[in-house]
Parts: sequence; structure tokens; C-alpha cells
Amino acid sequence: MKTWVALAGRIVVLVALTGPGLAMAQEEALHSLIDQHLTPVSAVDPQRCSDAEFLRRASLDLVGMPPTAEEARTFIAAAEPDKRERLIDRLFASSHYARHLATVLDVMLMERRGNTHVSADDWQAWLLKSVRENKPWNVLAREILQTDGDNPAQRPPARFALDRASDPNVLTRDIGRIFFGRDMQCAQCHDHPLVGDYLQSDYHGLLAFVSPSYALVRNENGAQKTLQAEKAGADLMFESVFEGVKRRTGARMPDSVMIDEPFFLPGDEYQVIPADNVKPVPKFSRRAKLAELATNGSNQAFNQNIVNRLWAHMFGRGLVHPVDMHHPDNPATNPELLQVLAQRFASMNFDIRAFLRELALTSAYQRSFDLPAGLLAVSAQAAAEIAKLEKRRAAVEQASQESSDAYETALEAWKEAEAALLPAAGELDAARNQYAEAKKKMDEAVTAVSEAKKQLQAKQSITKPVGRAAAELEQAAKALPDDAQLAEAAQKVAARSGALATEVEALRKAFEEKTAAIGPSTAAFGGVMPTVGAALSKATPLNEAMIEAEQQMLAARSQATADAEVLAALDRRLETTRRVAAVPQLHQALVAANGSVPPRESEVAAAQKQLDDIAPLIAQSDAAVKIATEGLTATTNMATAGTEGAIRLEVASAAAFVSAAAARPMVFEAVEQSAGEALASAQKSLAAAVAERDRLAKAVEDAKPALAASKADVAAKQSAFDTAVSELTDRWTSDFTVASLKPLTPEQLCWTVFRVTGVYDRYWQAEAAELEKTTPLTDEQKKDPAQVVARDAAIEQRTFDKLKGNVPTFVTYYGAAAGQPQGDFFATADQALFAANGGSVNEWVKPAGNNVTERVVNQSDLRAAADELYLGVLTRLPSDDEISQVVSYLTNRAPDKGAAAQELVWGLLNSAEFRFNH
Amino acid sequence: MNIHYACKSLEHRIARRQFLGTMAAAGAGAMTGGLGVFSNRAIAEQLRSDQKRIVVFNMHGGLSQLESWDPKPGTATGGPFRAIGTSVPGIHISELLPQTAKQMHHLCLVRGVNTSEDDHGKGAYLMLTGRRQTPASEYPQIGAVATKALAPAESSLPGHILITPGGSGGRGNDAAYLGPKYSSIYLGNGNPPQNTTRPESMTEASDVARQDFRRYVNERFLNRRRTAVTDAFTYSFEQAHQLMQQRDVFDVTKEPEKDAERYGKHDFGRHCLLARRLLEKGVTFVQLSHSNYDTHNENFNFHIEQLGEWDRSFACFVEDMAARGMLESTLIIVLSEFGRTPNVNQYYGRDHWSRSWSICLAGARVPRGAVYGKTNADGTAVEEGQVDHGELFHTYLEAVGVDSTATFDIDGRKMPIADPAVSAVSALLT
Repeated sequence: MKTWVALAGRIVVLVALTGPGLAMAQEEALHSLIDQHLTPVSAVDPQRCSDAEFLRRASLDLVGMPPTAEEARTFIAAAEPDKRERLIDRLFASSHYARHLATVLDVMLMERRGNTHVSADDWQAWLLKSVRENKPWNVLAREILQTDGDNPAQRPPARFALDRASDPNVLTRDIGRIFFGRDMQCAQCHDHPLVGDYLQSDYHGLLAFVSPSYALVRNENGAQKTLQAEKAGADLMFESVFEGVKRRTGARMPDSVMIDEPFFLPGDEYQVIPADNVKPVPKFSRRAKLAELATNGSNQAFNQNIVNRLWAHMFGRGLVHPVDMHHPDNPATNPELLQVLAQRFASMNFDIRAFLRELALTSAYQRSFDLPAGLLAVSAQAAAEIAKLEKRRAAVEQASQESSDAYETALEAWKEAEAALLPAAGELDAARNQYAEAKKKMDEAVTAVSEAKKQLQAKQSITKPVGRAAAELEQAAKALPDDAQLAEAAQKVAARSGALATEVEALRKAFEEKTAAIGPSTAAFGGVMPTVGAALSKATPLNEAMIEAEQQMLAARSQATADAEVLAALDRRLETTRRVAAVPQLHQALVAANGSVPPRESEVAAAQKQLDDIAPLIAQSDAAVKIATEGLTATTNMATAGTEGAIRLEVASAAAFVSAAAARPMVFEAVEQSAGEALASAQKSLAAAVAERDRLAKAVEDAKPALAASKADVAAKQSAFDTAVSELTDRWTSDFTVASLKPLTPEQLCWTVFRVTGVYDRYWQAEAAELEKTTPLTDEQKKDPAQVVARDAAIEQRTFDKLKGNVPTFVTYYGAAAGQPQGDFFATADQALFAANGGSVNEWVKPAGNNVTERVVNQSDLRAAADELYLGVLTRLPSDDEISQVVSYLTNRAPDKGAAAQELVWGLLNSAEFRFNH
Repeated sequence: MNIHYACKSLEHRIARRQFLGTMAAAGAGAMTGGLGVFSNRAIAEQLRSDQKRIVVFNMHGGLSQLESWDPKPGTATGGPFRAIGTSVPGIHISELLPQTAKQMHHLCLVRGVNTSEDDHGKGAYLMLTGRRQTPASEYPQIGAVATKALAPAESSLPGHILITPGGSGGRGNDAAYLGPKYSSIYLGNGNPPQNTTRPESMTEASDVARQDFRRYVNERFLNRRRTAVTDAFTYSFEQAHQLMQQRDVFDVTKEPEKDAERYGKHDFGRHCLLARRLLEKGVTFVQLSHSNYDTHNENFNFHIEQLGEWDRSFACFVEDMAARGMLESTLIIVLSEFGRTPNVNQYYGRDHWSRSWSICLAGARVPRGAVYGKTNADGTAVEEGQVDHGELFHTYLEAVGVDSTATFDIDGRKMPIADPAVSAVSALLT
């Protein structure tokens, strides 16, 4: 028993735990439960995003476009402590919520495929209506999986199958991906080579649900209507392209045993038998069974898939990512949380709006995309956590190994049981064929008898009157013996009667023969019945044994999968913790490396200084050598030319020699010798000084490599540190410690451009005015909330219809190819060229209708103009630096302010901050 | 204590870019970083000289092998045309290709193609993707694969170009799971890509100013958080800018008039000359098509007419690629969706035929002046050297140095580059 009580905007679920009589437990609100599961490693403290960021984020996620500048201004200024929660409720109440969610579901379900059998308008209207009614996800999914598109009310959901050309393999792949989060495409031809968990039987088991369905083109009064019709299902045969072993399967849900299907004798499978232009109705519809089993709340893969996809919608990536690759090698980052979400969502009756609301209320959703602060302080906690996690890991690893081994064993056992069933199943097929054949023969014999009887009776009905006529004519001829003509006639009729009697005899004989033939064909048919019975009773226990083995295999597999996921998540957390713990070390290494640079720089500088210091000595020595050389030359000249020449010498030290020489003219030779000695001595001093200089120069050179090494070390340490932080950022993005940058979808981009350039609101106002004119609401009606909501929805629809023609342009440039996964981001030059040179964007940013460009142009206070600009386009106030940038931009361009304002709007519109939801 | 996560120095930025680039190359993300480090002209040139390229001539509708690469003169199926000698003694091709015959020493004929697919759409699909079309699977075309495997990440030019006979351009839908980044850019009738000129109402100064303001706005945001994804986004604008600067690359009138004369003054001649120009400027993959060879009626007259136009342009192209030394690095592929029936029907036509037909290759690792494979006397069956689309696909890639047995990592999905069930034809690789 489940009871629903909504309290103060928070849903509290009361669940009877184990039965009546036990206390009712009040479950914790889902959003706080989520936050408990998303505790960051160690004591890392995630930052909370700003109000402006929250406003833009929540608006884009819930209504598909940012708020107006005015709304942004009001929200940022508001002081209520619960303004974020109020905002969330306002957004859910907006007519844009249904539109946006319908678009999100459309892209998720159809991946922007073209419309062939169901028009875009019908499909979108159906989705929109479903979201407005807050149709539970399982109901929506059931309608999609079940409908044949015949009933007009259920025609739109048939788009899922019909616009995939009803191709069973395409449908199997996409149902697997979109409803169960598993891309089993590779398992079409063999057990998945890379994904241990996807077996060929998983693929073919799902295919068996889909393969009886086909596109039936039915003529209806000259018009043709394509339906997703269904025939009676049969087992599928398949074989691995690697192993070549033949296998067979009936319909199987992911992670479930083959379904128990009622046994029908051939010819007995249909309520309405297939025929030309007739939609057959099988007694057992596999498609209906798939729809039921998927959506009844018991299928974990179905439940986990949708919560993961809704999570990815809000958080930018799934707990399992990519969202359609859920398997042990791509485990959920937080498997326990995924389980909790799936359980809760099912017990919330698959209420998408209530679930999204819980996600929006989490602290995790309100985290900033900035990295956590104070990282260096947490190393101690990290170390303690590592020890704890490592201890836990050993136990988890062993459990995982054991359950993995158990799965292997169970898998083999199941394959054996399956192999044992195969011949018996083949015999049953043969018996069914024999039965069909014998039944056909018997039916033919019966038909032949009734046919012969009909012919005989027809003939007999002629024989009697002719016989009577013959007898009467004969008597008449006897009565009038002379009448030759009468005699001739009597003869003719008698002959005719005789012939007829022969014919009747032949027909009677044929009738008797054919009647006799019924016996053997009935006997033959009767003989086949026990064969079928025998084959069935032979196959049944083998089938049961196979199902039993499969049950065990699946239980073992789900245990192994769960254990592997827990281990992987633990490993991930452990690794993240290790990396957090390593950051301070890397940082210290960087600091130390930085620290080693200055002393090395001083060493180089000191050596350089010594080198520089020796320069005067070198100059001096050099000069001394020059003087001594000149002295020697002078002395030699004097020795030749006498003292007069010597007097001209200007240098004192040389003069001393000269005067000595002059005083003792007789010893010129001795003086010359002394000058030579002086030169030698000066040269020696110079050589010593040069040697010293060379030594010092070498010392400088010797010191340089050490400095270069230190600098290289700094660069290496910096790079190691950056890499570590960058990788940690990726990890934090995966575990939701920091917010992801979510690229706007093509649709979001289109509506966001329309919102911030004022195009949207201009159209909205025109439509509102038009409605007010044509069908004004009375004052009474304006007080009726239902009327107000309906009017809002009507205006939204009209505005959407007027502008939706622009969406395909954005899809062409910013969307992935139709039918491909739509989540991957890509940026190409042709997008930037469209933004820069394409006619439309430049047109929209022109000043018009009081849009942001016009408001900037009209605002004479340039600082206020900057506020207007940033609030209008980026939903935040500019920084001081940004204000002065805008002020100077507009001041310099005063003469053409209009063009300048347009450039500014364009610049913001094409910034990364605009392109991403952050 | 707070630490500084974002160092704003230039060196750091480049180091970070390289880090991100390495990540992308390792397939760690679905994104390749837009890094801008190769704006250095010398580095770009260096890359360019090593760069391998592929050009595909798609003979739309199904070229007759008997009127081209594998003539059977004098047989019941041979049709009216003679076979002529080529620049390689012993190799004969149809007399409809006299100019191409003179380039035979550069070419390699593959005469044993058997693709067993006579439907236009399916035939084209398997020849361009190397796989038979299967439900629920879509494979990227050779152009997307070659671009992902070969194009320098930093090229400002699109790597994958389709010169279409008409149309206004746009982006093709041929990259499947590789993503739109590798989709073809159409040059409608050889015109430059869309949106590569500034709007008339906007001055250059205005454009520069708004782009500068855009960069300024990005700075604050990217200092808070910078990822491969934001890099790719901001880089796309720089790439767009460079593409506009290089718009001349797409302007075939910049080629000498005498070359335009040589190639032929018709659309196809112009497209061939444009292909030469694009490949020379560093585009990785160019595909041209020539229409239409679907000659169920009047096969012989149509082939005279069509090949009469095609022969000269193609021969000039091959000759120039060889003369410019580009044949070493460029693989030329001439293919169709299939060949045509040896049997001539009552309308003097030939129908769809995929059991024994031919393609022509040249350049890169493919042997020159060679013939591989052989059909029987009347051309109805392959006698030697049979190959199919899958093996050819491997061969194309191996010819330009791509390990065709490797896999692409697409956001965690391992996708074999080519059909893992078959491999390259080693005889077609030197």
C-alpha cells in the first residue's frame, strides 16, 4: 500500500515497510538523501554557485531559456533566504516548462529524426499535452511501446516505431538505448566483445519482442495509413559469428528470463487472422507484454535509465555516462545513488516534475563550476580516508571476484541447459509443422466431401424431373405409335435421362470415395496430436530447466554487476582521494622548485659580479703592458737616438728609466734590458688577470645550467601540478563535486538567442495583445487561476508556432546528424561563420522594440548601460573591469553608438559564457 | 591556504593546451581541443608537407568497366569500342580514355571488384563506407574517416570537402558516429563555403571590434574554468576567421588561365582544377562527382559523351599531381557504386552489374602502372584477384598510412576504423 501526502511543497512518502501492523516510516526527502550520497571525497568543500548563475542554470534547465533582464535584476536583488526554491516552483509553473520538457523528451526519443508518418505538430502536441498533464513516465513509455497508431488518440506515440521505418533491428537498438540505457548493437552478431555484460541473447531476446511487429499499409477509402501491426511471435534463431553455435530465444526483457508465453496450435494464434488490408490481432501480443513488463515498475534497467537521463539533463552528465552505455565496464559513478533514485522515482509514481524538482533542490545541483577552495588543507583527511577505503576495498574486491566467478559458472550452466533444450524445441517446431500439415489435409478432405456432395445433389435434382419426363414421354409415344416425332423425342429424353443417371452414379462414387478419404486424414491428424503432445511434454521440462538455469544466471549476473560497480566506484573514489592527497605534495614540489631558483640566480649573479669586478684589473694590466711596451720601444729608440727622444716620453714610470738612463748615458743597454724586464712583468700580470677572468667567466657559465635546470624543474613541476589539477577537475565533474559546463542544445540556443535579443518577448506581447483583442478574458475569468494558466499556454503556443521555423537552422548548424546520439558537443568553423556572417543573428541583435541593444543605446548613463547589457545577455551584473570596458567602448564610439551596442551584444552572445549553461 | 589554479602566463597556457591536445589525441574525450599553437606558420608548413590526402572521383550512376578500365573488344559483350595501348606496355584500356591512357604509368587498375550489390543507394553506401548497409548501423564515409585519421587538428581549412555539381553548400550528413566535426563541407558547384564573407552592412573595423570584445569577455570566464570543450568553442571562431582570410583557397579563378584551358572549360574541368588547388593548400579529403553513367539506354553514346568530358580533366589532374610531387602523399580513387552488365540490352544499354567490375587507383602506397585482378574473356566473372568494398576500404586507408585495423574511441565506444572481418589487399600496397 502506498499513500501519497504532499507537505509544504515537499513530497513525503509513507510506505508500509513489511506489512500492516508495523510502524509507518517517514522517508527522508529525496534531495537531502541525494546530498548525503554525494559527499565529496575528504573534506573538499565544493563552492556554491552565485544567485545569478543559479538563475540562469535553473531557467535553462527547466524552461529552456534564460530570464529577461528585469527578472534577473529582481532575483539577484531579492533578499529572501528561500528565493532559489521559490524560483524553482515559479519555473515549474511556467508554460515554458512543459514546452521545454516536451522538447527534451522529443530529442531523447526521436534524436531529431525526420517526420514520415506522424507530423511534427501532432507529435509535439502529444508530448506537450502529456507533460502538461504530468503524465507519469511509465505511462508515456507504455503508450509509445504499445500503440499501433490505429486509434487517432494514440497515433502520435506510434511515431517512435513508424518513423524508424518499423525496422525491428533499429527498434531493438533504440528501445535498448533509450528505454533501458543499453546499447546492445554489437551483441546483434555475437556476445559483446568488449562489454562482458551484453550477451547476444539479450539483444535477440529484446528483438523477439519487436520482430513480430511490422509496418502495415492499409487502404482507407483511397487514403493509405501505415500502422505498426503485429503478427504472432515465434522463437528467433541466431548464431554467433565467432562461435557458429546455433541458439534460439523467445522474448526476454533485459535482466529477465524468457517470458512465459501461452502455447497455441497453428491456426489458433489469432483473434483476427492476417489478411489483405487487415490489421491482424494475435491472441498474445509480445509488444503489449514488453510495454507492460518494462513499465510496471519492476524492471530495474528501465527505472535506472530514466532517472539517469533526467539526472544528466540537470547535471550535464549521467551517473552513468554516456547514458546509453550502462554496463560493468562503464559503471555508474555512484551505483548506490542510482539505485536509490530508481527506487524513489518508481515509488513517486514516475512523476517527472516532482523528480526534477527534487534534483533542483539538492545542494549538488547548486554547486559552482569553480574548483573547490582550500584544497591544500584537506590532505590530512585525505590520507586517513585512503587508509579506510583501502581496507574496505580488499573485502569488496574479493566479493566481486567471487560473484564474477559464480556468474561464469551459472552462465555455462545456462548455456548447457539451453543447448539441451534446443533439439526438443526443434522437435516441437517439427511437430507443430506436422500438425499444421495434417490439419490442412484433413480440412481439405472435409472440404472436398462437402464439395462432392454439393455437386451430387445438384445433379440429382436434375435427374429426377428428367427421369419423370422420360417415363411420361415413353408412355405418350406408346399411346401415339405413329407419331415419329414424338417417338424420337421420347428416345432423346430417355437417352438424356440414362446419361444423367450415369453421371449421378459417377458423382455418387466420387462422393463415397472422398467420404472414405476423410477417415485416413482424420486418423492422420489424430495421429499427429500425440506427437505434438509428446514434443510439448518433452520440451516443457527442458524449457523449465533452462528457465531455472537462466534465473540463476541472471541472479548471478546482477550480483556480479552490482559488485563490480561497487568496486569500480570505490576505486574511483580511492583514486580521487589519492589525487587530492597528492596535490599538496605537488604544490610543495612546485614551491620548492620555485624556491631553488633565486639562490641559483644569486649564484649566477655573484659569479657575474666577480667577473664584472675583474674588468678594471684587466684594463689596468692591459694598460701596464701597453706602457711597458712603449717604454721598451722608447728605450730602444733612445739607445739609438740619445736622451732627447726619451724626454718626450710622457709616462712617469718610463721617465724614471729614462732619467736613470740619462744620468748614466753609458748604461743605455742596461736600461733597455730593464725595460724589457718591466714589460715581461706587466705581461705576466696581464696573463694572470686574463686567466682569472676566464676562470670567473667559466664560473658564470658553470652556474647557468643549474639555473636553467631549476627553471626547467619549475616548468615541469608547474605542468605536473596543472595536469593533476586538470585531471582532478575531470574527476570532480564526473562525481558532481563541481558543476559541468553544459553546451546549450540547438533548441535552447535558438530560444535563448530569441529571449536575450528581445525577439521572443516581442512576439509574445503581440500574441497576447491579439488574443486580448479577439477573445478577451472577462474580469471574472482573470481571477480564475485555471483561465490564467490556459491563456498563458495559448499565448505560448502561438508564440512558439510563429518562431519555431527558426529552430531547424540551429539544428542544422549545432545538432548532430539525425538518428545519432545528440549529446556530444562539437564546435565547427561553420557555426562560427553562421554566427558572424549569417543574416539572421546580425538581424536579431539590431536595436529594435526596446531590446537589450536599444536599451543600451538609449541609456545615457554608460555604467547603467553596462548593467543592462550583461543582465540582458548573460543574466548577471558586470564586474568593475567589465563596466569600464563597456564605458570606454561606448565612449570611443559615441558617434555610432547603435553599431557599437550591437557589437557588444554580439560579443556577449558569442562568448563561451553564453554558449554553455554553467 | 589558497592556491592559484590558473596561471596566466603564456607558457603555461601553451603547456595546458598541449596537455589538452594530448588528452584529445588519446581519445580521453569526445572533443579535440582548439588550441591555436600551430598558428606558427613554420609548424603548419611542416605538417602540411607530411600530410597525406585522398581524392575521390565518384562516377555517379555506375561507370561501365567495359567502356573504361577493362575493355573486351571483339567479344560478344565487348561493345563497339577498341582497346588502346597506354604508357605502360601491355596494359590496354578503352579508346574512350586516350588522355588517361598516357598517364597509365601513374595508375593502378583493380579489375577484380565484386561487391554483389546492384542497388544504387546500397552500392554507393558500401563503396564509400566499406561496409554493407545493415539495419540499425550507420558508418562514416571514407572522407570523414580520412579526415579524422589524417587532418591536422589545427587546420583552419575544412578537412572533408565535397564538390557537388550544384546546390548552395552546407554540411553533409556522412560522418555517422564520428560526429559533425568530420562531416563534409559542400562546395555547391565549386563555390566557397557558406557565410565566408562579412555582411555588407558591417565594416571591417566593426567586425574586428566585436571579435576583440568577444575575446575579452571569454577571458574572465575561461580563467575560472577552461576545458577541451571551451577551447574547441573559442577556437572555432579563430578557425572561422582564418577560413575567411583564406577564402581565396576556394577561388579557382586564382589558378592560371592556361590551366583552366587545359582542364576544360566546363564544370567538371573547373572542379578538377579546384580539387588540385584545395589539395595543394592542405585540404585532406576532396570528393568530386561526375554524372551520369546510369546508362540503361544508349550506353555507348552516353559513355562517348561522358568520358569525352571526363578523360581530359582527369588526365590533367593526374599529370599535375605527379609533376608537383604530390602523388607520393595523395591517393586518387576513381569509383562508382557498381559497374555495368556485360550483356547489352535491347536499348543498347547496359544495366547494373556488381559481380565483376573495376576501379582505378593512383598515388600514395599504391603501385604505379599496374593492374591487379582479372576477369574472364567476356567479363562476366572475376578470375583472379577478387576484391570487395571492405578490402578496398582497408586498402585506401593503409595506402595513406592509416592502420586500418585500429579503432576509434568515440566517447568510450570502441569503433573499428574499417570492417574487422576483412583486411587490406597487400598486393595493392607497395
